[in-house]
Amino acid sequence: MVKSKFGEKFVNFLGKLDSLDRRIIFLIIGIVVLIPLLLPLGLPIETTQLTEDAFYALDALPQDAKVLMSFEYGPSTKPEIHPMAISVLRHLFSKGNKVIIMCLWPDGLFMANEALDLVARQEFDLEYGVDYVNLGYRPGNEAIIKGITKSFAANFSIDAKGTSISKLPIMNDIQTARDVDFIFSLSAGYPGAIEWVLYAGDPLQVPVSSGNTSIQVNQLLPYVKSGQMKGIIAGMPGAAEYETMVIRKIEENIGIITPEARELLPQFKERRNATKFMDAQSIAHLVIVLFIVLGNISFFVKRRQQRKY
Amino acid sequence: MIAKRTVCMLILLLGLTSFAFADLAISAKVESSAQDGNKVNIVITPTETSSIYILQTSAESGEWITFRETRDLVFSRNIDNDISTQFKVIALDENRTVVGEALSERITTKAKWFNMNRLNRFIGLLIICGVILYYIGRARKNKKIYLRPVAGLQAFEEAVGRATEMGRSVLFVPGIMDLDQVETISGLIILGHVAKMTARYEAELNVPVSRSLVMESGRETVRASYISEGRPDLFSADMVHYYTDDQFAFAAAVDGIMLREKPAAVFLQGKFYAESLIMAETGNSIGAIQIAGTGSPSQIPFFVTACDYTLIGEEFFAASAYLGDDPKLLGSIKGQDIVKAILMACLGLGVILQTVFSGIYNSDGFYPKIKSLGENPTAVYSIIAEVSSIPLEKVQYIYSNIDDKLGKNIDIQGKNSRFNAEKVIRKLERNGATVDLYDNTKLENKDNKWDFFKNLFAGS
Amino acid sequence: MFWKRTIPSIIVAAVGVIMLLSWFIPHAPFDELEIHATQWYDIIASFAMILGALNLLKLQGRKVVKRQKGWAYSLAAVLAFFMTLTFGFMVKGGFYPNLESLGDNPEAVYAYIAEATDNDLENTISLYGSPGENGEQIILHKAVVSKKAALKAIDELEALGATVSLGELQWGSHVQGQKTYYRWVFYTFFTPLSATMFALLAFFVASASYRAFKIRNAEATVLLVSGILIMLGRVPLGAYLTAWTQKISWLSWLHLPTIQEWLYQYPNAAGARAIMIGIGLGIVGTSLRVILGIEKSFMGGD
Repeated sequence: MVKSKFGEKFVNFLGKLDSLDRRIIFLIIGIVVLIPLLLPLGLPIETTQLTEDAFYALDALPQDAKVLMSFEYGPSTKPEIHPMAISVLRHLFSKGNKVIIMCLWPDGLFMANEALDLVARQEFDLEYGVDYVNLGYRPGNEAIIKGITKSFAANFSIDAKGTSISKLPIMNDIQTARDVDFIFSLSAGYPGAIEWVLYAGDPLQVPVSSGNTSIQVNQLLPYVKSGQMKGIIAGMPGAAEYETMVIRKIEENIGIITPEARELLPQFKERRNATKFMDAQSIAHLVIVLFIVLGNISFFVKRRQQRKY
Repeated sequence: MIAKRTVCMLILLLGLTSFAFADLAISAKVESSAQDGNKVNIVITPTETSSIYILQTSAESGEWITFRETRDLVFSRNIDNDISTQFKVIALDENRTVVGEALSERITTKAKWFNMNRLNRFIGLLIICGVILYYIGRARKNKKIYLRPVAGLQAFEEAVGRATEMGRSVLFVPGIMDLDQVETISGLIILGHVAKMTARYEAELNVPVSRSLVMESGRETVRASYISEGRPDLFSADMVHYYTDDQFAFAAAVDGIMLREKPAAVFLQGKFYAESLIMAETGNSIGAIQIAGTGSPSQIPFFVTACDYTLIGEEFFAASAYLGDDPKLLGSIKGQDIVKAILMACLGLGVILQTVFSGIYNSDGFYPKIKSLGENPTAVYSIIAEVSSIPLEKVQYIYSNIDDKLGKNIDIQGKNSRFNAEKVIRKLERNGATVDLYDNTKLENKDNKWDFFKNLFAGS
Repeated sequence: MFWKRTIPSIIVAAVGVIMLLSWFIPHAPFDELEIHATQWYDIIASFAMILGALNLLKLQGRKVVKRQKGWAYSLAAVLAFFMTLTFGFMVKGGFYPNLESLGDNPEAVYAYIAEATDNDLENTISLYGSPGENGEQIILHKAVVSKKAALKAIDELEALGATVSLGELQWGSHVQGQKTYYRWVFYTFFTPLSATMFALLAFFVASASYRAFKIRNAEATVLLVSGILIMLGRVPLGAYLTAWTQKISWLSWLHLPTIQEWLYQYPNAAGARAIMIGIGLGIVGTSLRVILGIEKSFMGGD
């Protein structure tokens, strides 16, 4: 009798879960995300094809290649995209490539400065204007992309510090976007990777890849499948995969690696933000799946009870 | 005797020097595929000792301007159209001593009046526009065009009616982007129809916007709607008001309106990004009836999850035709559907052809691995450029130095099936190259993907 | 009506057709029309921002003046608006002492700089050991460096024998320059607020999934199963839990990341493509209607 009463109470409780207050869900999610951040699990990262394609495409560039990196994200999407910006910069600088940075979002300028401050100045100690340059932000969205396919100087006469680009050695042989060897867009929306493919990559036949939020990958997959984009770094999982690949490349001594990169390897291993955050994301996803299962159990119980009555 | 020897030495030296100078050459050729003109491919023929090249260009003014110092032998350069341009190369050896100088012919690029690379798209555009215009014309004569019922569109009036009964407002968000996006224009068109309903039912309308131009355009739309319903007295310019351009600040503002004013009906119609779920979930939490519509494919799942009705893709753009019932609009929808049917037929045919002709080797991960170029490298380079869609000059640069033990893989631009790879191998072998088939699908290769990675870039 | 309806319709039609055709014509002047038109639009939209700002101030200001419900939030909005405007156009900060020479007492100068920049002595000596031709910028350890603070540091350094001048960032680049008020506002207010709003998505996704992913019919079941597979396959946990399947060749397809990638790249991409084709057609149809003048309601027409 007691057992069946308990069973009945349990079943009633399950039925009530169907209309669980969302604040309880928020609280549980908050806790399960916080715990792995404080007590990391150290789950191994396995790379996927999309990220590998982007990595291989960048790694295939010769040592004197110049890469145009466009920063189109802000503080809201910084946790997802900033780690991949840092990884890509580390990858390119560790090969001796030169990087030209521009921003199509005003917030992107701050993000670019932060990334360059860490990687170009503190880690690699590179020379501004020779090894890298920050051309700054220009309003105009895709008009700027279209503009640089005709003339860089017309759209970026000065860099972010106010120096004329004609005085910057890195820009000596860059007239238009056609003169760069690769375009990499770090984008969280509009304008972003799609505009780079449509207005620069495809017409000029310059290879394009991008790092995006996970949400955008859906829209970009058709461009990857058609070969218009060379892989995508998708969200924080993609950023963690890219960090892993950069470290593995240096550890296993594959391709071109500068001596500075070899010395910086321990620092790269320690500063893997995306990899650290993946533990929290893993647990959060697992908890959401459990919520979905619980919600369905509750749904069936409630439906059975309604049929019964 | 000494004089004779000296003269002979001088002649020999001159001969050697002229030999060295005679080999250095530069040629500039207009890139024929560049329909906008201005792209020139420059090729340098080196001397025995040259390794560094300083390149200069001169337009009609005659002044030589240095634009590049490189070790490359081939590259492209943009020049201004309709201006005669010449190139000069100064060759240096490793000690930076000048060992040669050469001039190219004068060259002038011209843009074409029609971009032939876009001909297929032009034809497509003519077909699409032609079909739509045809059906618009037909609809003018024959007004009866059937459109399938769309639940979301039929719920518009129900939602506004609900708001009137409950004495609460109708919230309409026309997206977060500016008037240059077609989705925003569609959102404003739908706003016009909703404004007519709120005017008719005397419900309060609240339209927060994220862009100033959208605010002005929205005001005009709502004003015209209220006037057309004979209720200009109910219109107020403050119905359509601006908050901020920033995405998440705007989402916070809209959420604030929802939580404070608790509108009974929420319309989210326009271009949205990541803030879509924030708005939709908040609307759901206040118990409002929500009808969403967007042209952003990545936001549709969020709206489907959180809203009562969602207009997916074309339904959103067809809303104006549904709500307005104008025969011309209905005709354009019919035309769109016919175009879609044509596209579906083409897709189906393409799938069948691809399946049949790629045979059983429909997998991916097979690469021709070239071990040597053979005696006809020019032809081999052309084939590689064609199949991998890399410019010829870059192909010459990448594949000029191949280790015959390691080889170098050729990426057939995303179509790396066994069938395609074997086809390319046969073509290369007919032109004298030595090529193997590299199979990346084997388990041992997949286990150690880095082997493939090392092979791909070995020797580069 | 002629100026309000007919003229705009003619402009829309003419510009629409020209812009459409200019994409196929690489010859001047059509080759740059697209760029110019987009830039003109951006300039107009930028000036139009003034209208929006005035509207915002009017409505929020009215709420404050009339002490309507929630007026405190409106006051915060108005104050934040003016604060950012001030720091963008009127008060920039970003001043810095520019060290030109160390003078006769370099140790004292190093010690002062080390303390003022919150740096260790060794680093300070390597950074400021040999000031260049244009001097060496001393970045004081403060949130914002006003002119007064910079001048004070200059006086103290000069008292120690160093030669120092006052440096300041140019208007324009001050927006992202170090130790400016604008940058302080960006990192203190804007960044955490934006990040917070975006972070809400994580919670809303959980509550939306809990509510919506129910096995009501076959399609909902497929959605549920594929959603779970992708959620677990996308994170390292999924790879970790199914790592054992990689050791058995005929079970390797059960590896969650493999399933996730297949779902992502094939059914998901196919669906996304189909929707994008439909949306593309919808955009073409709407644009044609606008160019032909069939659709005028967004301009205030019928």
